[in-house]
Amino acid sequence: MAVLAYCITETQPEIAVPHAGVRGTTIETVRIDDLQCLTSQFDPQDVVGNASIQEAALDFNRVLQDLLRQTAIIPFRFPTILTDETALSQFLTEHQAEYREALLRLHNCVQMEIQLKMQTSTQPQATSPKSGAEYLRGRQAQHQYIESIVARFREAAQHLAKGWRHHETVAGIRCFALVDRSDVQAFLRQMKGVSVPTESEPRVTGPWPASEFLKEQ
Amino acid sequence: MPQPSEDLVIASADLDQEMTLLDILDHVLNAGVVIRGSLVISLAGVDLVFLGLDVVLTSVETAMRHMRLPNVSPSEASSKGSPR
Repeated sequence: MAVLAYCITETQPEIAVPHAGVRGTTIETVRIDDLQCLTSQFDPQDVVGNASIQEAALDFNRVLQDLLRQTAIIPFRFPTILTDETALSQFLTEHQAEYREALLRLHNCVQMEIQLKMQTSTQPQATSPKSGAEYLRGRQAQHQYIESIVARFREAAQHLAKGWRHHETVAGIRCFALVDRSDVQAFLRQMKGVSVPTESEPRVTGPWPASEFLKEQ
Repeated sequence: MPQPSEDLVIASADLDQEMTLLDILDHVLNAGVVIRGSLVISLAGVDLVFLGLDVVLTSVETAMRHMRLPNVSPSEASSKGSPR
């Protein structure tokens, strides 16, 4: 039967495997040396329709959060479905070196995220450009404006963030900070103190698995 | 003018403040290791469901990324085992 892959963790320290996975299935482990992948049997026919899919995604997240509270994890994107455990073992064997390195590096760390919306009203030179050059100048000003806001968060986080990444999206900008588990509360307090335009609707979420930091820059 | 971020929304499990459905879906669907290619299940009938999951659940941002790569096959667009 097909298997749904949740995440990869180290086998030590031992973790308490969640009682149930997506749709109440039993969670099992596939081990390769000192790494393990948590899986459950998965019948895609059981997850048909938007409500079921959403429910399955929430179940999936519950498992990840449960494990994240205990140890560092490398999550799979939902839904990652493989033909069987042999296929998963093969994948783990091929990639074990990079995942072992990532888990060692990210040990005891979680990812916090800051989302900033960049609506037209918050951006300089919001009027329609009259020429290509004016458009480019507007884009440059907009970019600098966004960077200045990001810099405020980054500065506030600098003593707590072991890593920092950010990128622009269609909706605004997303910043990711790699934070020690014990510093999550302090990080949230620091973010509260940052002055930003209210229109940017700043939003901090986390802790999440450190997906943005799986590869070193 | 910038204001102190009293309106900052914090959604953190550590503060017993629940994350929104959108936050959760965005993360489980867009973050993490991706396996594409021959390892992904390709049994008759299952492909359709898998495709359905992708289409229904993918975010607008991800969809737009894929739309920018119209001539790239799935195995090329997303290398085996690459993270987000």
